Amino acid sequence: MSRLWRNRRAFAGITVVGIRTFFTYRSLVTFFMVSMLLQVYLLKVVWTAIYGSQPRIDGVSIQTLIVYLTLTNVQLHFTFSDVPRLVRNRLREGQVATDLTRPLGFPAQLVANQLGGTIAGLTLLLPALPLALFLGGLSLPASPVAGLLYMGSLGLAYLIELLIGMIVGLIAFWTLEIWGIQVILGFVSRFFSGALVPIWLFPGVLRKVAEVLPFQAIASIPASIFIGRISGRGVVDAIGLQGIWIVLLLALAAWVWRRAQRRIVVQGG
Amino acid sequence: MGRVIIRAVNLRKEFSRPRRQTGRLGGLRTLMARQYDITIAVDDVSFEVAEGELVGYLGPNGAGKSTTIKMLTGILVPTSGQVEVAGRIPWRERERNALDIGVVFGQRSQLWWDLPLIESFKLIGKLYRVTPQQFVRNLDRFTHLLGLDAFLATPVRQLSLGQRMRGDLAAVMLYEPRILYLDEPTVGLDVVAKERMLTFIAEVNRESATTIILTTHDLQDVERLCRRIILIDHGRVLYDGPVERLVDRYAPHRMLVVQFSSTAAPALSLPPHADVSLDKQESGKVWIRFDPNRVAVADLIAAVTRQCAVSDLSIMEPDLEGVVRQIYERHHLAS
Repeated sequence: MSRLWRNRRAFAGITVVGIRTFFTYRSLVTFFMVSMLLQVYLLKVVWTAIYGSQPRIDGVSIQTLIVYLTLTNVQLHFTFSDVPRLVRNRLREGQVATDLTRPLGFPAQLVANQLGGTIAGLTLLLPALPLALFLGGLSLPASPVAGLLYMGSLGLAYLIELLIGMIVGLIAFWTLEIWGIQVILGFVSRFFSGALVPIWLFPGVLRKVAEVLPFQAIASIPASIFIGRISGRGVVDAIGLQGIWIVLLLALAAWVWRRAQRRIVVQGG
Repeated sequence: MGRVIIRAVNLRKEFSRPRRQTGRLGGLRTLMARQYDITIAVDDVSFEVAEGELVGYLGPNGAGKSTTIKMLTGILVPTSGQVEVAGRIPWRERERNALDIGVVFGQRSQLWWDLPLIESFKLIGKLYRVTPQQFVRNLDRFTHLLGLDAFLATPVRQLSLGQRMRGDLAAVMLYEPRILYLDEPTVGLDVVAKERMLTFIAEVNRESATTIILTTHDLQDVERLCRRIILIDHGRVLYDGPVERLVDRYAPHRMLVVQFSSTAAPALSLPPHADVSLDKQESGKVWIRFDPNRVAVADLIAAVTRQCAVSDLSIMEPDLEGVVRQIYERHHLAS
């Protein structure tokens, strides 16, 4: 921690680089945003049809469900970790050699970079919120307290996604190519995050699987707190679960990083 | 000579790569079989470098130069052996070590591709905790020395190779590292750019007493800059010492080049001596190889001019390149 404090200017500097790099990829991010909004809209259409004339399914009204789906999808856009792509590129181009001769540790550089990307990403995401409201649906949180807890839970969700991104990225130190892993992970995490079908509607076994995976902690938990589906004692458990995931993933990431350092092969001499 | 700042003891680095299976489902079988090919990039390398030295680290492609540098800089963890730089184990204290060293790779840039050069410099200043006064002073000095004014505001990706390399050199000097590793810094540069680079390196070494390790396969760079060279091949040190001694030890011979007055070369009988031989002969010109420690040049010249009319005479010193080529050839035959 004290080391990070000494390096705060370095960290901030890399964050600024992350912000500036983001703007070179802005058009790509815009496409992601458009597809996210389209997905929100299609989910609304499909789920409205499924609900038909039923006022509630499993205690949740269609209006609330649409808010939940809109939130989870917007959130996934916000928490998205670009770290795997970053690590893969640095390794492919052999630039990792330079990164490793910096007085700021490689993992810290990755975090700073992603933070920059997220900050810059907000300049696109915030203006898109009214569109999300229009194509999907948003409402106020279930209560002011739920709103506050939601913000906290969203922060933890961001950390979980960041740590998963780190671990996946560091795998590239062994395999160099992680595109396949990224594709599979992209699908699995989206599905089990509960952003397409809410986890409470998953059938028995699938629901158990979703509950032991970390992905629901990224999307479903914060959004469920927001709409009041998780409340009271349940919130403590849910946020506690997020905390446990952070500790576990942090330990795993640290372990993988320790081993990755011995695996370094610099491409291109 | 200052005290030892870099110490490598029995340094060794192996790389293991999964053995690629070919044929049907080759990729999958590569994953499953888990057979590895082991390459030894650096094999039992030991040396010490004193503070303020400028050492040429030489070897053909694939000799293990870059791998050694990457262990010294802390990028790679040695398979075995010890490495110590300024009292630290580089890979174990990578971040602290980074403040003491500057690394320039000729093949890649440490600058940020999308940022203007000056922005990259500012970021380097932040990363390496350069004080504002130090930053301004050094930026001034190196901008002037390396002639960077014209392109300080240009994004790095638009710079020419020569400009980029100068930018890279200035970037590492901004925080005045104690040790500078230059890995093939002149690769691909034209004569002018190269000259500028070499002058700068010499100056940095002289003025700031920066310890410099320069890897290259260009022997002219080394002859210009280094008093000491370490020669490696196949991951092993073949020679470590002054440049002149290398020449003396491996190539004691000189060449007497004689141009005769007539184009038809006359039959020449050389003094019957084991250390004198006719090396080459073409239209009116002969190359006579001799060992100046055994044969007096004057006697040799006298013997030649006695026999025929000579229009020109010169003595050729062996160049480092020839010497090194000889050593490599001998080494390849032996191994």
